Amino acid sequence: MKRDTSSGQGITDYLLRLSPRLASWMLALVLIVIWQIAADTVPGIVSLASSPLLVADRLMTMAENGELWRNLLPTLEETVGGLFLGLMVGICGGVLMARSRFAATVLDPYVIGINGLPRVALGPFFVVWFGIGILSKVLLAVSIVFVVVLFNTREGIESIDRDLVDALRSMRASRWQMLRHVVIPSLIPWLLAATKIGIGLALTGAVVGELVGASAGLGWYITNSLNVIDMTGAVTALLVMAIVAMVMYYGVLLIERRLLAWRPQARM
Amino acid sequence: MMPALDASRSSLAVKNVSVRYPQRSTQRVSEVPAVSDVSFSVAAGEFVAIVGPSGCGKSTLLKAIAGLVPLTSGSIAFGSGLETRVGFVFQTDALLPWSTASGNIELALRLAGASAATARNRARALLAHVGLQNAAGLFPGQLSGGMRKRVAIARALAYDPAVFLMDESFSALDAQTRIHVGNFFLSLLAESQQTVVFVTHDIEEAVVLADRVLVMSHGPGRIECEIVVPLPRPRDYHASRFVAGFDDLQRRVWTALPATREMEQ
Repeated sequence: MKRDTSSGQGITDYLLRLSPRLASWMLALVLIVIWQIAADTVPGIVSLASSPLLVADRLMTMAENGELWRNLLPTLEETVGGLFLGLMVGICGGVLMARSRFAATVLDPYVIGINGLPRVALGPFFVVWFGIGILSKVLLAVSIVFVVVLFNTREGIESIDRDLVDALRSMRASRWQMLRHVVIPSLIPWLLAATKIGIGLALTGAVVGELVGASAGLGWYITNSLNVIDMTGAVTALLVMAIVAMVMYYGVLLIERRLLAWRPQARM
Repeated sequence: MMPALDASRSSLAVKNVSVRYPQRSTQRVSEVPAVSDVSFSVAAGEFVAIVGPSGCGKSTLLKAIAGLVPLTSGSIAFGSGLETRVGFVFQTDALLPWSTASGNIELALRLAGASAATARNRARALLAHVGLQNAAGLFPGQLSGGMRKRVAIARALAYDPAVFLMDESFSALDAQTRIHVGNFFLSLLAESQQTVVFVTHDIEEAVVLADRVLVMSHGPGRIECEIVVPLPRPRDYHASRFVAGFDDLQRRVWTALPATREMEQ
């Protein structure tokens, strides 16, 4: 049955039905236009929030003179490195705590303590301990990311379907075969979920570290710009961060589509 | 296409088997007996059903036969002594959800040592045998409950196991699908002469399927008595419930079952 979408319903309704993705882009366009109009008409807005045209212009300049890459690269390295190491530490810790009651009892209070701690407060310490280079930011990102991964890994291991384990054991599967065919595939959805949350967390760790003390990076660029009251520079760096987070997130989403093709809800 | 009938096909001998579960309380680790001194044997090609009140340890017994639960005492021997692989069909289908119908069967064959090419060809043949040749590339999530059960049966059949172990295998299916899958399973058995141990709480199902019904006591389970089912074969999962003698057999199993706990108290 076909439904007539144009009759009696507004144009936005029609467009929403046409493509939610298009609507998403249009919303961005509308917000940018409002921002530009506000910057042009309301006095003082430009000095508080810059304007889309100024930001676009700055982005071009930064890309041309290399400033963009000089600051994007360290932040990217810190984020990806922190995310990767955070995944490693979290998976190892989660497996250890899920497999060993002893380890779980010993380590639980520490994990809970670290989880409750606002880890951005560790930023200044890490910069003092590990220097203003990349290492302090990577470690700060790791300290934020690993807890989520650890919790998800534990939960994932505990929710492995016992019947699947029994089924493979009844077929005399080895430990490695059990790991490969049951444990790892069971954990993948949990780890993908942790990774998606981890992207934002790793970026937070990297940028907070840069705000505290660095000589390059998007966080450093923000502090630096604000020190000379260059609002356009600060907003541009912020925008680049958002783009980094989105690109990484969609990257994970692409991997997820491949890995979770077996899940009915992932096949869209 | 199907496993060739082996004249020396193994039967199963369960001797004085007891299983105790370690139970962790806050204070200490104690052991809870689940199965107590159970002995029975199954002839090659025989279908034995085990019924008993819930918590009597019948599932534990089945898992012990499958080697999934360690024996506290006693022994379990498979006739040939060589093939100790069992085909286990669970109450859930227990298929890997991330693996296709064909992939699930191929895995069983690969674990039994088949080459990738052999496994693929045999999986195709098995799927065709259970009427699912078109489902080879589908994931379990894309199949109906009855189709999943047939894939699970095909998987258990894949490497010609010494014995089929079935734990409430049809009880999660809806009534109509249960009859279809049950009949499909009976026709499969008529061909393959597979030895089966089938655990169920459904007395009618036990009588309609089995050559012999073992009745277990309350946990820790023992075998209370055995009832031979002389109903003619081929049987029908549904229609055989209306043949002469069925009512009487069903009543005998029901009477042999120990009273439920609620009634004792």
